[in-house]
Amino acid sequence: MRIMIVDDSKAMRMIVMRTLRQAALGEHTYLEAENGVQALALLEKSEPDLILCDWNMPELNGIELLKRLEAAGRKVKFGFVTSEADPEMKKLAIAHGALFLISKPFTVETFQAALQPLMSGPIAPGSPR
Amino acid sequence: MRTGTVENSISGITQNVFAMLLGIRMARSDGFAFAAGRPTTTGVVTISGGWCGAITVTVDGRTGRRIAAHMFGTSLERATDGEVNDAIGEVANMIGGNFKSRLAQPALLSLPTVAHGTGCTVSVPGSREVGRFGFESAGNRAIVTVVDHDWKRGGR
Repeated sequence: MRIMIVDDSKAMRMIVMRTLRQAALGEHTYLEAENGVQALALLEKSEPDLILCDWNMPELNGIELLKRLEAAGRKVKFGFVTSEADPEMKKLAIAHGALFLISKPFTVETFQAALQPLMSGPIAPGSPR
Repeated sequence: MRTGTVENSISGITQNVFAMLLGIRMARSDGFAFAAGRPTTTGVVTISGGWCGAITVTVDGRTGRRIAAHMFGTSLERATDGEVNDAIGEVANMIGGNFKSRLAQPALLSLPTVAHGTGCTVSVPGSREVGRFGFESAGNRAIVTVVDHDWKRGGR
């Protein structure tokens, strides 16, 4: 899979990539963006299979990025990896097409549970837990 | 907000963040102070909503480098000041974000701000300290402080 990781913290982008490797869900190539604006620019010239996105970021946050993708009709699997995971945010994320919301800090098992269903084809928003 | 409630929340969240993310089992410990004349790094996030306040996470130089080295997959010697700042900002973001999720919603979490230096103090004007909680493990030391900001007390 081509996976885009969007997070303003380079440390967190590295942790996410390391966790994906440890989850042993296959070979992936990675794209990195520091915020929603960078992600949109990158999306103009690349087609990731999955976007793993932080919520709270400067310039354009995660939910606004998701709304823009939704408005543009861009079909790409999208999940949040965020330190904020209250039920209202989760509801909002799912309403706009996010497939899952992983809370920081996370474990390898959390990633496996959320991403394993994505490896076997299309799924409905919010379905993996 | 009661100090005991805050202490339980902050203790659980902080120990969870250090254990899950960094593999460090931190125990509550208020019996230490950071050495004078040695640099510390402090990450700060603020929360606005029904409860307004801030969470600060302060670590000494060694702990900051250890956290950065772990997160960036490098050695203590190779971890740069920029990487320490990024890592501590993210730790503050995680502790603050998880704390925010336990508060009445809606609430807004700020982006983290990081201060690094010797004799460096961070203050939130108009705020009151709710609790100051120390954590320690094998030479790693961190202090998490919670302040609240009551507009009725005249804070800005």
